[in-house]
Amino acid sequence: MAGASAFLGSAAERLLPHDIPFRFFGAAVIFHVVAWLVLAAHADEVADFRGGGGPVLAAVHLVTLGVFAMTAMGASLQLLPVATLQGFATPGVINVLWWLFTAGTVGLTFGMYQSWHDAMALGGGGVTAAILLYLSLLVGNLRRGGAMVVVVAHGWLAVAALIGLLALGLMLIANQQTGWLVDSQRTGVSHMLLALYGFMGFLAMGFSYVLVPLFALAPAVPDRGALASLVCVVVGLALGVAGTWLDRDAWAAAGAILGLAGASVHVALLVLSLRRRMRKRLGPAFVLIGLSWVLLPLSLLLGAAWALDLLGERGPVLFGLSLLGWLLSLLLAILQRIVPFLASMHAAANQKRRPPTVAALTTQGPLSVHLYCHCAALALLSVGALGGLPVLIKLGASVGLVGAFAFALFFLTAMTRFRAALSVPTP
Amino acid sequence: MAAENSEFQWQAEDGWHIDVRGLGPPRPMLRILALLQTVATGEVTVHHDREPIYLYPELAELGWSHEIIPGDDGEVRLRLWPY
Repeated sequence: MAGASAFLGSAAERLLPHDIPFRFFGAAVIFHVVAWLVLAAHADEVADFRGGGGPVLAAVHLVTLGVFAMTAMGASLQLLPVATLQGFATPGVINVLWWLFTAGTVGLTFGMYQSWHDAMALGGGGVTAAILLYLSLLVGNLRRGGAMVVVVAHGWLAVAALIGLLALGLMLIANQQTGWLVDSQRTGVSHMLLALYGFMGFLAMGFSYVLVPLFALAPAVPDRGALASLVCVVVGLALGVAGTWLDRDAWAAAGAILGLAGASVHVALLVLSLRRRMRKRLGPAFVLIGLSWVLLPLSLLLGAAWALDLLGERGPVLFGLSLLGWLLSLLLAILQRIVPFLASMHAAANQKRRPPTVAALTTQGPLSVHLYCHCAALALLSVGALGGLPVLIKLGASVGLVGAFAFALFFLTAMTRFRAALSVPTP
Repeated sequence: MAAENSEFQWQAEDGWHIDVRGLGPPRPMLRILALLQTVATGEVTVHHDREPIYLYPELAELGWSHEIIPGDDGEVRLRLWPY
């Protein structure tokens, strides 16, 4: 007979120190508030945004880097080693990563906001260093692991997309001073496609196959279906990026349609899994997940229409809104489930007595306020952008800001209750 | 519905046992939770190939406690009982 502690797979080997993932999630919650604040203050610049520096670009990167990438890093650093049955990186290395990425994001977005190239370059350097560090951790884990084929395959593709988007991002920063890119707008769109459908999309889709069944107590989706969806998305993304980069709009449209097929299979697999779930009441997080499953295919449809020049001058903004809306809805849903879940898990792993339950760590009031505000904000922004109405865009961003504060209150309450539970001495 | 004996779960003198080794996530958790829904009292012994950390919040929700007990080589064995 051997003690369980001698076996790879104990809680100590499978759980990061609790302050690490919560620091990533806390930063994402703060960047979420700041992003809406910047958007509300500069609502009149949204409808005509076509790239370039300024507050709207800063708001977009506060969301993509500050909320999306920050959440994805925090979640993947905790979840991927569990999925691949591998050990964690040293907490000290992850702390360095967090500081670099947070400081870099602040510098980069401040530089974008002020159109201040030096701050942008310095911040971009910090973000790049952090992403390279994250990349090394991700690759190290994926190389050794293979327990969950679907998650690992999505992870490798996220790595490839991350390298591509980083290269394009640095080219765009350099272009601000040198102007050497022939068509910086197409480079910018390619960078966005790789960042959102590529890096974030692959991570979001891969982890959805783990987290959605986990939170709903539903069966896993079949590997074959998930991999078929992935193939469609990969080929679609390659076509989309190549078509955008090389000015071949038909390729870009075909890529979007192929991506739509892959995304539809992805959503269908998860919906079928949810139909067989054990948990009956799913809560507001799954309303947001449902919304994200509408916005993902919608973004691809709008992307195809934009590539074929069917959307007119508001096409880019509508496409961008649906794309950002998809990931924001999904990641805030994941955050509101994973924060109390991880807190309860840490308390259970560290205590002999009954840990606080997920329900006890979750305040429903702020989450309901956030849900309504989030949906209203996306709707108002879309109508405002479509009609070129800054008043509606400002109203939408202000409502989004209220929602972001409500979400921050939920996070703060969960952390306060978690720390209170940990501070009670074990009998 | 009462729990039934099968190749992966059986009733012994010390209570119910469930063997979820070799199953990919989330099947171990689903099988354990399904068993707990039918076993209201008594003890359940789980034979796992790793510590099921994702199970703990669900156990807390259902009012079950857990502890790791000695098991075979390569096995993580858990004892579960209602609070």
